[in-house]
Amino acid sequence: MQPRTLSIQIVAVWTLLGSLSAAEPDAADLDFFEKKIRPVLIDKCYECHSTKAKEAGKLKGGLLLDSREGLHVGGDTGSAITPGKIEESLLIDAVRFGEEAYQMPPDGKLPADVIANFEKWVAMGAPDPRDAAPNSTPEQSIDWEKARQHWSLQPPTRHEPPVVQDASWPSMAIDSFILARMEAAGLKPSAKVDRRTLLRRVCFDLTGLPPTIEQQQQFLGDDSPDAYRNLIVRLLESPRYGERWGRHWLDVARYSEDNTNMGPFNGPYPHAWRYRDWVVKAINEDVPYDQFIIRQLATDFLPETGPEDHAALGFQGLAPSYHKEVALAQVVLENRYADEWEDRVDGIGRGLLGLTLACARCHNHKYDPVTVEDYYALAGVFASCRQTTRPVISEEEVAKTQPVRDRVAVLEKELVEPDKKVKDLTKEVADLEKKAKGEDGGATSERLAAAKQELETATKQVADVKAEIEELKTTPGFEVPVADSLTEEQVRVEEITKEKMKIVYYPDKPRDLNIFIRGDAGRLGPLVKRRFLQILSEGEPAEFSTGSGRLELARAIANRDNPLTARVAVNRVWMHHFGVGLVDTPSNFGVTGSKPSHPELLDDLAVRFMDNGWSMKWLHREIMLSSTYQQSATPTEATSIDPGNRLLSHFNRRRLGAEAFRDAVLAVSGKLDDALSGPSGDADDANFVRRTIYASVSRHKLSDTLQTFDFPDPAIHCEKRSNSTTPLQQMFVLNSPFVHAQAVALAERAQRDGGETLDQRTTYLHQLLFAREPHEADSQIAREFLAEVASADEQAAATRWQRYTHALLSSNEFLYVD
Amino acid sequence: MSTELTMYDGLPRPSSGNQGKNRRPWQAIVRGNTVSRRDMLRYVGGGFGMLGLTGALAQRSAAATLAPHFAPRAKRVIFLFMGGGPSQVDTFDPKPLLVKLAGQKPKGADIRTASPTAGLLPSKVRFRRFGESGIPISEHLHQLGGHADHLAVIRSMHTDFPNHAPALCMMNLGVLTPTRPSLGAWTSYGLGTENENLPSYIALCPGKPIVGPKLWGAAFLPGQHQATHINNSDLTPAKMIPHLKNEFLSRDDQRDQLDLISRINRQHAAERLGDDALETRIRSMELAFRMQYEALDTFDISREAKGTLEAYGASEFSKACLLARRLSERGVRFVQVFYGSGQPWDTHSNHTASNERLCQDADRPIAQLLTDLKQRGLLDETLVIWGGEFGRTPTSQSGDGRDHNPFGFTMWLAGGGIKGGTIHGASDEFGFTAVENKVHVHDLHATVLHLLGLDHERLTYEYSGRQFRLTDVEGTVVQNIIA
Repeated sequence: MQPRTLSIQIVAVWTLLGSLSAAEPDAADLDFFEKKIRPVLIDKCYECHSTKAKEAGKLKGGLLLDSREGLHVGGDTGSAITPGKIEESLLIDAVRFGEEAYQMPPDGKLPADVIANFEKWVAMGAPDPRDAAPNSTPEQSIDWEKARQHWSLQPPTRHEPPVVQDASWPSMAIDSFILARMEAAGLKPSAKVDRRTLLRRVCFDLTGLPPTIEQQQQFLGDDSPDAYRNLIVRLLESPRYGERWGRHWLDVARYSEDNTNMGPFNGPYPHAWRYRDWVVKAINEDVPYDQFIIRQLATDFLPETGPEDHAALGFQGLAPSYHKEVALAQVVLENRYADEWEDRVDGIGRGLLGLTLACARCHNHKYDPVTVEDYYALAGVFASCRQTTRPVISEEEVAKTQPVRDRVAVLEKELVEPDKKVKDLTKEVADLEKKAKGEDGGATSERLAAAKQELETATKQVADVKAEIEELKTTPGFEVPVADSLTEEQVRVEEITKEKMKIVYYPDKPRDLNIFIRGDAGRLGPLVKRRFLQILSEGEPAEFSTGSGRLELARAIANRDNPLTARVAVNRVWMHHFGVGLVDTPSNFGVTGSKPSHPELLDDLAVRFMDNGWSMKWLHREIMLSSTYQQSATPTEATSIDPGNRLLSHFNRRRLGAEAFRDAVLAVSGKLDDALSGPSGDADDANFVRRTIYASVSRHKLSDTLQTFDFPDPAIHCEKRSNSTTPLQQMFVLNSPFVHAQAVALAERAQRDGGETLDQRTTYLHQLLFAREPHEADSQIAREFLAEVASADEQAAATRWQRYTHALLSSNEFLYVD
Repeated sequence: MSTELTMYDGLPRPSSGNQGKNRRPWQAIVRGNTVSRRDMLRYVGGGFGMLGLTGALAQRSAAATLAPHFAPRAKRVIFLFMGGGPSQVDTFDPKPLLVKLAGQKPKGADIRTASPTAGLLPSKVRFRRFGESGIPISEHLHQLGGHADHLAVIRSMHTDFPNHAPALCMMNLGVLTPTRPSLGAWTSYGLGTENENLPSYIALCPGKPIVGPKLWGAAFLPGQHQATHINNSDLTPAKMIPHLKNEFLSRDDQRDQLDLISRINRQHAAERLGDDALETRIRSMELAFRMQYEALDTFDISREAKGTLEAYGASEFSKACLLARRLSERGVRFVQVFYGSGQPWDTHSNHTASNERLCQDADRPIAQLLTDLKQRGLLDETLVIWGGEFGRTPTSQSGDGRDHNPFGFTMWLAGGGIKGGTIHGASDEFGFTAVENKVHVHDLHATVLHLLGLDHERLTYEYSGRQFRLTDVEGTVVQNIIA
């Protein structure tokens, strides 16, 4: 069976167009073609097998019958005719409706005389006067110079901030770029946001948590001109920052702890959390973004990092792995691995470069300058790697405790025999006891006594060994800590028999791939050496020569001369601060992606980002200190000019995502356990009170809570989250045991810490949840709802307070950030 | 297609704009990937997933509500999914030759599927011809046989992979890997909902199939199009939908609390005029409140007449079929009923007895579902689909067992737009491989969408730089089964 392949539009047929020898046919032969063959082809075949069909997207099987070349080159299953050889011609087989043939045309078998004409024509040598099909377009060669003119492939450069009319508004370089466009469109910036709102905004942005009352007092009580800058610096130094921004990265990395379905070759990833922790730590340490990428792709190649950094490789080490069974045919299994390489290439393509590289698995990219050769040159890197675990401690450390593990292995082996003996004796004793009942004394009871004795001895022996094993297992360091990562091992599918395959790993044997024609591992095209993308290389890209090439690939991506990497990174950070990127297709900077709203700003920021050591913390400061960022979320004028607010004439009010909402509920209730790192818990468990980034993420069964609040599908790279408003979300807020429990805790907290009077507690709650004092209207609402509390008994009063705190947790003001 | 290449930067532009004339309303929104709040509100879809607009807002948006490409033949779908893969030669595709050549392995029966199989294994099932059309159906499905003249039986289905996980993905997602939206999600995306108080797409599964929720996921489509999974192993409505019921407050107390929330939100919104998102969530709260009670009713099959409950039978699948009917008649666009958890039809061993038991258990509720739909005048507008991710081999595995068979299997469709009493296509003489008028899963998907008024080549979504569709670059509508 020929597995159907992924999107199939264009094939690299030209590579196969070698020597088409055509003996000169004579006029009579050609006349036969014109009269008997061509009309039938036009009438019965061209609808699906012609250049026109191809242009209309209706081409079937990749077969063109409107040209001589088309017939000879053939389609997916090879040449349509072998001139002179009827039995070897697929076309004949098809029109004959052969048993295993395509049976064409699909609407019914041709009349016998017409079939006979085709047979005769092939026997004649298939004379065919047609040249290349009209307007036929062989795989168009890419005009590299022209392709490089696309904005994102041009090197970004510094730009002078434009001159603006209102010179008093800009406080950072960013602002001049933003204001210039506003002024050109006749817009004015919004007012500066008040300090309390700004504090709440900044805290959620950088830490994913609302400001504590202490943080409010500290910031609001600081009148110095540097108060705001110092606030940002403080928050960037908080470990909560890495938890917030680490999670943004995990969306890009499609982080998950298992696979959609699991088996011996696509198992769960029990050590996945080590990658999550690595990301949080790296972000907290402000590892330069270029190093951040290089370490995630190739830390094992770097002299400066050791095994403790292996968890970084989880970026690809935790990538989705698909179902495989060794009973499957070789090519079928190869295709499964090929599906995985597609994901890996997509991960670096959309994730790091903003290019939809995976489109080129089956054919040259239809819009962007990416060839099918480019694709396989990159896929080869991942075909040379194996997803597996690696220790995160040094070999010496592993060696220290190895004798213990060896001893345990020996003991476990030694247990096999006594274990069997116990089992056998137990059975024998039981049998003998049964037998002994029927007779008195004699040989049976004698044997029974002996067997019992033997059983006792054997049981004790087994118990002793097992105790020893358990004891040994408690040795510190017995369990070697490992991370799901990559090794330099080529993975191959090999036949044991036709019916049974084995998966074989070859260490340090990198593999160049042949092009898979139309993405199918069963149809091999030319071999492609592993290398970087042509469009991003100067001249011919150099072949990768060090191992799989991961380090060379990583360095080609995380490179100052790469026009995409810094732009893509800067744009993602911008998106998380403003809700929308300067480019609003953050993982597609290609021709089909969006253009930047402020191209010069993006470029200037990208260059300065690199100049400042690829520092994310620098970038946050640059953005957050701007006047643009400090605008109010309420526009000062009508927005009909720019309804989507792409010109940023006000701040975008934003809904909290799944994690921030859940974390904020826990933070204000006082129940948040802020422990860093470690194995994951369950977001659906009302008793799980750690930050949501520490909840497990499953491809097989994503947590309902996360899913309800637009958590992205972790089986594929996520460029940005959707932002739905659904009744299921509200049911979670109103009815779930989790929110209910936190509402109770919040009411208790207000009672305990919020002061004595109703107004004091209302104030406390508004500070906790909204970082502001209540307005008179807010207090009025509270007084009315809680009116009975004063005269109610303790229990009734507590319940009333809980309903009030639950309502506050359910409010728009809690869920939205101005 | 030049509009596809138009650079979109989301910036303000003249109202004459370059929005393609033929672009469907939702494409105008999804294309640019900037969803303004206004756009978001224009984009009205369904139930649990969607915004749930009511009143004036809904009217304002009605013009832009999603619509089919052409006149639909069916408004909604019930997909009875027989996970594991039912055996075609023991249900709808009788092969007498298996008896004659029992134990032998003639050419054509020596195909390798998931694992090697032995010689031909005759079916122990007796077939009877049913209805005026005389479609042969297993005696274990004789009640369904009473609807033979409504069925279009496709005997020439084929798929691409002999293992469950990839084949399940193909049947439900149109691709072997778990990376794309499901058939139901595409339907929801294409047509929206008929009842905004209920989800547009519901998967009834008592547990989960081996691939899990991916089979009814939305992948890169907006999240509201994924199915709401109902675990029907416990038919208490409040247990089927997470957090459907408030365990802490009476209805009056809840209303009281909701009024408080509403006051707080109104106060908040008054200081932030013109933000539709805030207004949307206020309405969504109200909708959630109403839905708690509507869903409690909808999902409560005990409200059915005693006679109806008896007619469906007492098994888990019986109740699932009845629930599917309740959901469908209330406007749930796509209901997928998974027969049992895991892969119950996967009869590698003890096949004869298992097949008999499974067919007998499925027979009555399916027949009753069709009867019910017909009696209520709903069959004409409801498309019912029956089948698994693949079929089974006519050859034997471990004695009385049949292995997976992707090369040829049977499915049937009934109801909206279907030419009843039809047998389409044929398998070879052993029932191993589809040979005549072959229907690939892509073709089935194209046909289902067609019956719903959707052109499978035009129902696209832009993602990762290109237009994706359920049928990828394949799919031909099977005209022969359409009335």
